[in-house]
Amino acid sequence: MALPSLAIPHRDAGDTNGVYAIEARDLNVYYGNFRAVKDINLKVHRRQITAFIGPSGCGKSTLLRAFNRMNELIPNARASGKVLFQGQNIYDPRVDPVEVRRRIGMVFQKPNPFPKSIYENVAWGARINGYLGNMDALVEQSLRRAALWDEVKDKLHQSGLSLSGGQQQRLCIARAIAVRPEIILMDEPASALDPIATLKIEELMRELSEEYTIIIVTHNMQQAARVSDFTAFLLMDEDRAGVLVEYGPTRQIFTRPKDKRTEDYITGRFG
Amino acid sequence: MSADIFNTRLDARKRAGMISHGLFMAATIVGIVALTALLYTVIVQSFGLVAVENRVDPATLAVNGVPLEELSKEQLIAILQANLSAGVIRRYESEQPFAERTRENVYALVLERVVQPRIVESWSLSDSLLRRAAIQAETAAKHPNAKLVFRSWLRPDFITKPQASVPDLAGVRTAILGSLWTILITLVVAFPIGVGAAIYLEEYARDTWLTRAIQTNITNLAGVPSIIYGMLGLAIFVRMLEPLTSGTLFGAADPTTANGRTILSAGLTLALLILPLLIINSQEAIRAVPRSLRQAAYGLGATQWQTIWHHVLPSALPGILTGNILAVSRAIGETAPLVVIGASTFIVIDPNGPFSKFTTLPIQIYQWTARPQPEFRHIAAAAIVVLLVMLLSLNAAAVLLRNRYTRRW
Amino acid sequence: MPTSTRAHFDKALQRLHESVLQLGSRARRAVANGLAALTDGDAELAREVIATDVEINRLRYDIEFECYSLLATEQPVAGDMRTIVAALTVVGDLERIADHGKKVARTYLRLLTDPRPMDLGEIPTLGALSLSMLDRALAAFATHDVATAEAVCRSDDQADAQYKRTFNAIVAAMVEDPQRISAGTHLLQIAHELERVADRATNVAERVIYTVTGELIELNI
Ligand SMILES: Nc1ncnc2c1ncn2[C@@H]1O[C@H](COP(=O)(O)OP(=O)(O)OP(=O)(O)O)[C@@H](O)[C@H]1O
Ligand SMILES: [Mg+2]
Repeated sequence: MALPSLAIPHRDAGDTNGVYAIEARDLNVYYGNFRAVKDINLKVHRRQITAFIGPSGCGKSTLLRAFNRMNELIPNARASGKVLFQGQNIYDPRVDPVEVRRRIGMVFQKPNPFPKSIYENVAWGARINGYLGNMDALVEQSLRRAALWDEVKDKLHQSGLSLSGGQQQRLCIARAIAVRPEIILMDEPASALDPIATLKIEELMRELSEEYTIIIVTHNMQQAARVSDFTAFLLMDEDRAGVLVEYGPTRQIFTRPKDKRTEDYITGRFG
Repeated sequence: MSADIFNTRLDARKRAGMISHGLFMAATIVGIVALTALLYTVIVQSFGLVAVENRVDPATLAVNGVPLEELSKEQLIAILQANLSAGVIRRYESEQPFAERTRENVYALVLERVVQPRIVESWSLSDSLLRRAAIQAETAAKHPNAKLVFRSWLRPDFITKPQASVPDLAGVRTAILGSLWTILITLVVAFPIGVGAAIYLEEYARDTWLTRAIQTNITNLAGVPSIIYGMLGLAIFVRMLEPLTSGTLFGAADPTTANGRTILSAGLTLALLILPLLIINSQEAIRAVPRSLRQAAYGLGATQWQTIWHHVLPSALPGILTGNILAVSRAIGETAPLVVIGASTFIVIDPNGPFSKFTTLPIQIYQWTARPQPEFRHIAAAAIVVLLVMLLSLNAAAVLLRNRYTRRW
Repeated sequence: MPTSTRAHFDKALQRLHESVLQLGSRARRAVANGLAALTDGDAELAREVIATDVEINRLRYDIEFECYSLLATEQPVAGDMRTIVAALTVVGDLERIADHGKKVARTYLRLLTDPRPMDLGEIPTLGALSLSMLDRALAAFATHDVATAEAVCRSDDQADAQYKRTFNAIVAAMVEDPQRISAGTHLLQIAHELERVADRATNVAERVIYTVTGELIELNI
């Protein structure tokens, strides 16, 4: 490491002006020469749920991953511009992506528990991050927060893969909150689930939003409408790069969107 | 949609399916037939009738009408003393005093030194079963003193006895030990290097022309004939690194007699031989670990090493083991490179470490099959059975290991 | 290939729109005929207005039910949602407008039995104004014409003023001649119904504005 690592400040308890949890400034993400998202400026509200909607391939997942530098795991992906988190640009070369990813967690489209026990699934992230507290308590608390505790408390040492899809996804959420992130990014977290499991996840997100900032990518317009407080609509421009068309309170977007393209998309008159 | 825009050609499609079905089945049958033929020839040679001729008829050694088998230890010692020179007796006495020897031991000595049974002719299992009468007649005519007995060449003796120049007394213990030592060294060297290289190439190396060139080379190296590796091993391990491979560098061997033709050289050569295969197999297993697993780990703030060590490797390990069982099996059966680096063919002392001279089972087999005496054919066949059993049990062990690992989740 | 990704839904919305307009034209006819019965003294026409109200009510409930079905099955948002929700309130207003027409007709029939008839005074003027507002509101609804809708909302003040004038004139006549109190009260009732028509026409116009712009503000102060 040539550069000294730069710690991201923690928000102190007295900070009242933290209206925004994370902010993208002139953010562009490229895959090789292809610009997948273009000039994104977006302020995500703290402890609110923000939904990214838009047609397939418009760069929602790309933008989401840019918020915790997950894109870096993809060969030849790179970002320009800034993402400000706690006042710190997470793309500063001195910032360690490992630190960023612990503070900004992620839940993926397909439930992907580790091939380990339920307990271990939740404990692992905390352990590798040097958690010093009582692990049993942390596991229980995280599973409770993810509304999974009652279903798994008698089989904590069975494989995480033995759970149903919806339970697996809640396990993944428990795993994500066990490392105490400040923001949770969710990429279509319910797309592989049945409607009831989906509603459970949505309800859970509502609960979690009291403590966490949540950004969710979803193809399900109703879901975005039900679960989010703010909605960002992305669309491909003529170069197939994703641009932010409209961003606002979900209630406004879904009753009187300002942009004709948003209206066409959310009412299903797209293409 | 009207039906006539489809020409379904169902018959033709079914026929094509049936033809390929038949071809695949034929291919399988050919394989099974070949395998059966192999096993058949090996088994048929491993058992069969032998004509045994004793130098001294045991009946003449009976004492007061008590047959040789039932004589007491003292009586047997008396027979030895009567038939052998004093010098020989003294030698046996100094090896282990007769007083301490068991009766069975003394009885075996009497058989070996006095009765001296000698196989004068041997037959294969199939001949023994089908042409028994003819064999009996033939033996009676050619060797009137010989007795026909059924012999299993594959006996406990065969496995526990060292190499000997007489086929009847020869065993494969030294060869088995040599093989085991060699493969141990091969594994210890090749496994970490192979898996390590695979991890590096899969997880760390950037996709540049250099890594691609390396990758291509590894793939091609896997196809290089093994004898070339033997020549490489000869040049590097036996010659260049002689002080190291002979053990003189560590004072483990006498510098005046030691040379580089040791188990260590053999193990290293075989390690080189299977390394490309190992790397490729391990790479494939690592590549098969789903991306989602890595993402999950990174998403929790894991470092690359934590991700690899806690998730990628454990998930890939069953695949790595499966893939590498074949590579190791290949090494166990390898002959040519070991011949090139100068494996000894006649070893009567157990190899006891990396700096020992050695032979291995395949070399032993190779050497025995080259002998003109028909008895060597039988012990070669028996050795092949031993080799097969050893291969199968090593594979089984690897499979068990893998299953234990996989079953955890 | 369907021309729109929601051709089926679009057709349903189109049908809904036409049904609302149909209801509008029938409600308008109820008011116009009630007024005509009064001015022309046509008791037959008045009875016909009263009779047709049942059909109008049924039409309103049919449309309402269609709206609920679309809400439940199509989960409309944004413009679609506004169209359907506006239709829901508009059909309520239109049905009530038809009711006002019916009440005008019924009150006229009561007037007939009154021993001391009375001059209609400003009532035809008020009726014409309300009818014109309703016409324009329906036209705005038919063509999603925000400008016309806003004009309708603005003329509500005019209608209020006209109502006040009519009211005062009738009250003055009743004060002059207490014998006219019975007939005057009926006329006050008719004037009130007509004023309500103007109010509800304004409501319809407001929904047109909401449907198009998404803005929900009461212009009818
Ligand atoms: N790993 C990658 N390498 C190259 N291009 C990529 C990669 N991932 C995504 N892209 C491209 O970037 C653009 C945006 O992709 P992204 O996955 O962000 O879309 P999305 O909005 O999440 O789509 P979906 O709704 O289908 O998930 C697409 O054109 C896609 O082809
Ligand atoms: Mg996506």
